[in-house]
Amino acid sequence: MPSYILRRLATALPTLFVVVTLSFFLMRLAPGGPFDLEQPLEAKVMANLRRIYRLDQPLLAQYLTYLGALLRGDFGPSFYFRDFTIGELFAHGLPVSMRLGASALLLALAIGGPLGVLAAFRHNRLADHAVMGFATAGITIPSFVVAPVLQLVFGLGLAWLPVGGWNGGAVRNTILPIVTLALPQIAVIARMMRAAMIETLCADHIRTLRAQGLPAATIALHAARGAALPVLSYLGPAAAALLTGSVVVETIFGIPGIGRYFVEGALNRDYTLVMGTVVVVAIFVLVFNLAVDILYALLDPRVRPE
Amino acid sequence: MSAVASARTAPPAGRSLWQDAARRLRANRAAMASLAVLVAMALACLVGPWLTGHPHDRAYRDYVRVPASLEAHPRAEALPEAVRRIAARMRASVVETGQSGEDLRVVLTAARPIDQRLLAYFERSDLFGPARLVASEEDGRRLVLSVPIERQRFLLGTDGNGRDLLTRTLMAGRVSLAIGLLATGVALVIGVTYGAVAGYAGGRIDMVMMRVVDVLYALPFIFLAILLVVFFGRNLVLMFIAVGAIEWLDMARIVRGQTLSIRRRDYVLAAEALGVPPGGVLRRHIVPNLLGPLIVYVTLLVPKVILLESFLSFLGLGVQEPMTSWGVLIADGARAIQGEPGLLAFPAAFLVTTLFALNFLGDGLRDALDPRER
Repeated sequence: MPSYILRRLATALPTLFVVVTLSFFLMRLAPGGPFDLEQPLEAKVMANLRRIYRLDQPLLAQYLTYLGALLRGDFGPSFYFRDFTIGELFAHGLPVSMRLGASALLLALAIGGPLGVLAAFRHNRLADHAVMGFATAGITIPSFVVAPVLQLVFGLGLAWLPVGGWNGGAVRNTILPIVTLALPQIAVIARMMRAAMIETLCADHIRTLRAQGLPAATIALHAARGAALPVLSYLGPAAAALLTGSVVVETIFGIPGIGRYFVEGALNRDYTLVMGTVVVVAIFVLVFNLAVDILYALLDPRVRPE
Repeated sequence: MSAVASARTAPPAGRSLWQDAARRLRANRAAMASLAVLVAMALACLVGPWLTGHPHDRAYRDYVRVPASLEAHPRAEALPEAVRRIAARMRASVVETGQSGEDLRVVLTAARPIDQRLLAYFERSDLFGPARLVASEEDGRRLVLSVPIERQRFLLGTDGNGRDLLTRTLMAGRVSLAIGLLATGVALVIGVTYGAVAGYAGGRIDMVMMRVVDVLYALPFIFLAILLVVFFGRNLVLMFIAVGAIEWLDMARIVRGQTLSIRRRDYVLAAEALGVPPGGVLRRHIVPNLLGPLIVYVTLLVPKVILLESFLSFLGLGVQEPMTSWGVLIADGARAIQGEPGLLAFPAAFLVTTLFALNFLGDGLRDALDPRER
């Protein structure tokens, strides 16, 4: 097992390197620069700024500088948030985004999984249709519609929860964002769980369990282990996306996470900020895919490496 | 009918996968209803903007944020106030107003003679047509006018700039549906070509091509989208291409997997043995046999692309004013939700209906094309 993990890491690192290289040069190819304002700066000021941020050096030299700094764990200073380094921005934002994302993921698993199992056991009956209708709604209604509606109903109408803001991470402030984040995930997980469960419930080993007259709960438990595999492989990328924050949810609810840095960084040509978010997201994707592979091997003996 | 007739005469007429699938799809009520909804939606968006009677970019300044209703504007109770406002701009005061048929009889007086050119104020307002002078009395200090009332209907109300929401929603539907179809087409072309070539070539080429896909997967998707928008500017056609250029990755994977399983089939080997060049084998024998899973994926990709477009437009990176898309309208509506929930509700309803129908149709197609369901 350890050698398997090492082998997977060995393929992940070159991917990370290519991602960093690709996004570095892509970002630089984009027209405009970080100091292009509505009113152009004086040539001398511009030259000074470019020198301080080493933008006057050849692109390859800048790339090597960045790569070297990255290896030491230094993401560099932000071009747009002048007084912050990228590391500081992430140190503030990442825990916020991760907390919301992890809560949403757990909520989605806790609700979506059982819903899918229920739908599979009641295949083509009322409960199944209800779950599938809800799941389709969860996938089709975009979060930027769900969020304002939740704000209107629970924030303004019923006045149970705050409309937005972070408030130092008070639980009341996190409920609406978590629900908004979790709804589409609940839907996807329920759908996948249902499809996999229907297939598993027809398998021979489950038929044997049924023939032995075991209670439905026991059968569900046995079937769920096999049916969880496709859901698991979906969870890798989904977890990475959730934990690194959502632009829409963070913008609408005014949450100081890192989701909005994608947009702000790219629009303001904040090169280091964009690179930082790319690196963080890529690391999350790679780590979660690795974790999923390992869990997969634990759940399914057939893919367990020798 | 000829198919039925030949089935009767020719003894064991087999049903093709497609006939089977079509039969099963027709039996699926949810999928057929979705298909009907989609056709209706497409027709409405295509033809509707010409039938509503309002250009999509015409701003009625007198009808800002009118709520949705079936009744025609202006309302009778709004008329005296509107006439009073116009009269005030003409430095005149209203003596009497009274309805006479479709026209409004207005009598204005002023201390000094009224400049008749100022009557144009009536026409400039959204409520009235050109005013007609019936009589000029007291050396032009007292004017009797006949003003036609312009009847307007705003079935879904108007937005913050006084533009008809129904027209804009249908117009937005055109853009969103067009983006959905075109971007899916782009993704289809790139994905099928890439995946089929990788799967058919196999070996080293396949490995390298799939590693490229892996790397692109690891790039944050929003980053790519934003970068493409930044590169190409905010151009509608380029948006189609940009969105399609992002969404081809899954397609390439699916196509490659299918190609791998098809390329060792007997009919492919036979074609190769007969000397058909690789391009011909791909075009004639491999791609047509991929269509089943592809159709399903495409029906599910269209709603994904429409959502992505509305997401980009929501961030302000997509379609620009005065053009509009469902994402733009929803973003505007979300900002005005407290005062006028209709601005969010109506475009969202159109979008969600379309996405629902596409998803149900995709699910139905999947069930219909699944050979295990025979």
